[in-house]
Amino acid sequence: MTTVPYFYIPSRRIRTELLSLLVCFIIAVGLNIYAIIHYDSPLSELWTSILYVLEATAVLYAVWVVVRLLCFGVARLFGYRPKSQSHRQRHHHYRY
Amino acid sequence: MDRRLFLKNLGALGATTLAATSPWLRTFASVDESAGERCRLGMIGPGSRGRFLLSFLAQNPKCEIVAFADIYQPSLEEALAVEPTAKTYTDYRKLLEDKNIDGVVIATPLNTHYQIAMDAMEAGKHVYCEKAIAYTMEETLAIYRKHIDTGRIFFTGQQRLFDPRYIKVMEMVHQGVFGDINAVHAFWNRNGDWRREVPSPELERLINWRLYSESSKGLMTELACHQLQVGTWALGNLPVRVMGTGAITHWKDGREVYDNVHCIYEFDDGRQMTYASVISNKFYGLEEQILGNLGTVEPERGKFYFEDYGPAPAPAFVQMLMEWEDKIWGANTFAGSSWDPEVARNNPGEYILGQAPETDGTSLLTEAFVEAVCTGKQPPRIAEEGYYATQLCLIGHETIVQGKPLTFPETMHIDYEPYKTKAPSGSPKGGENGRN
Repeated sequence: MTTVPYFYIPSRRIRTELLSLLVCFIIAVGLNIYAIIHYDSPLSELWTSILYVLEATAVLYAVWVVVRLLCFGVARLFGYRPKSQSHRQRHHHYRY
Repeated sequence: MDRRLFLKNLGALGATTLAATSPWLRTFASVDESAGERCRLGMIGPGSRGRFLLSFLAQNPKCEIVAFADIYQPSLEEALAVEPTAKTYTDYRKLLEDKNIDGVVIATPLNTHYQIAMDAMEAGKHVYCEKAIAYTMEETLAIYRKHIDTGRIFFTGQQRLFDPRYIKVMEMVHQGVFGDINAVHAFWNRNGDWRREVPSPELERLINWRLYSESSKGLMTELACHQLQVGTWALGNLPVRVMGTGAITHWKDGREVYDNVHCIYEFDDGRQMTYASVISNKFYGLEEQILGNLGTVEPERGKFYFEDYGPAPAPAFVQMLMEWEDKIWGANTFAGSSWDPEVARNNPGEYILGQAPETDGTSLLTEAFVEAVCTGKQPPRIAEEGYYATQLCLIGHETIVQGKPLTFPETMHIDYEPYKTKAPSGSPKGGENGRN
């Protein structure tokens, strides 16, 4: 019997989160492009401002996480249970 | 400064450029032709300014100072210390009778310029007249017309026309390097009573002539005359209306001319030139601030400054975030002040000639006069620039005295293409220089 790690992130969740992160990054890049056009700045800021874009990506992602946690918390308050299996249930399934 | 250093200071400006923007410098084009020629000059009024001019003329190998005229003996004696062989007169008319004299330099009190200049040109002498040209606008016009009628050389003491930093920076101004020039702020501040020591009380009005209204119009004729010419030179136009105020606010010592004047000159397209002179505070000194939308020129300091000086603007992304922040917090009264004090930026600027100014253009101005007398050719625009500089300072004084805005009188215009002015019909006509 294999040991189930306590913090186990299934690959589906990882894909979802990576997709969320990508969407946040695309939004941040889009904002940078808008700002470059709006403020008539050099196109080189597409990469020279990449750190700002990455920071903005992180902030957007964090906001998105907080929003989801809030939604999840509110849903739990009203007795909502997610349909998906728990980590341990899924792991149990994998043993077979 | 000699011509060689002068041309070196002008740097990359070619002869063609100079001829187009500062055509009076053509005077120096005939230097070689006139080599060996020598003119004989007389000086009327070798007082402090006269002797300053004498210090340059005495060194000029093409010029011989042969006579002095003054009613004040100590001035004659000091002039003789420089040119011991010159004749001296106490009546300038005797000097004018000397047929060997080609031209005269007039550096007398303002109210005497008119009669002396008219008599000199009538006597066939070329004239260098210190600014302002005359005590009234009518006298100034009469002197200019006499110059046109007689064909005598006529120079005025507008030495900035020969100052390399002014010539170079005006070229930049007219090329649009500093954008649209929308205003000129000229000022001349001192902290002093403007008095000369008087050995005997009866000489007070003679020596301190600048302080009394019968002989001077004070700050406007003695100081503004230089700087108003710089303003019109930069703006390439003449003002149409003037308003101003003046008073004696500090030096209440019996003087009759203002020690505190402020004028606004308005151009037909709405641009403005201001002039201020206060002689009870010298902090800001003198300057002609030429204000363009891309940069500023301070020619007295010898510098120009571009508007975009300073740290590079923040990246667009950061600017956008800051704008959002302002939108969110800007309306919140608890977020601090919603304005920044727009004090002058600490912009070091750049020297026009690459270094701090060393001299003004007086030596070259006197050299140009000598050259013009030797060749008999009046340089373009010299007389006209001096004419309008004097008229502007006189109308500025007049608006202060009358206490109401004044329009530049059409009757006082001369034909002068650079400012697109036309003399009234019946007046002497001319081309580029307003001459036949």
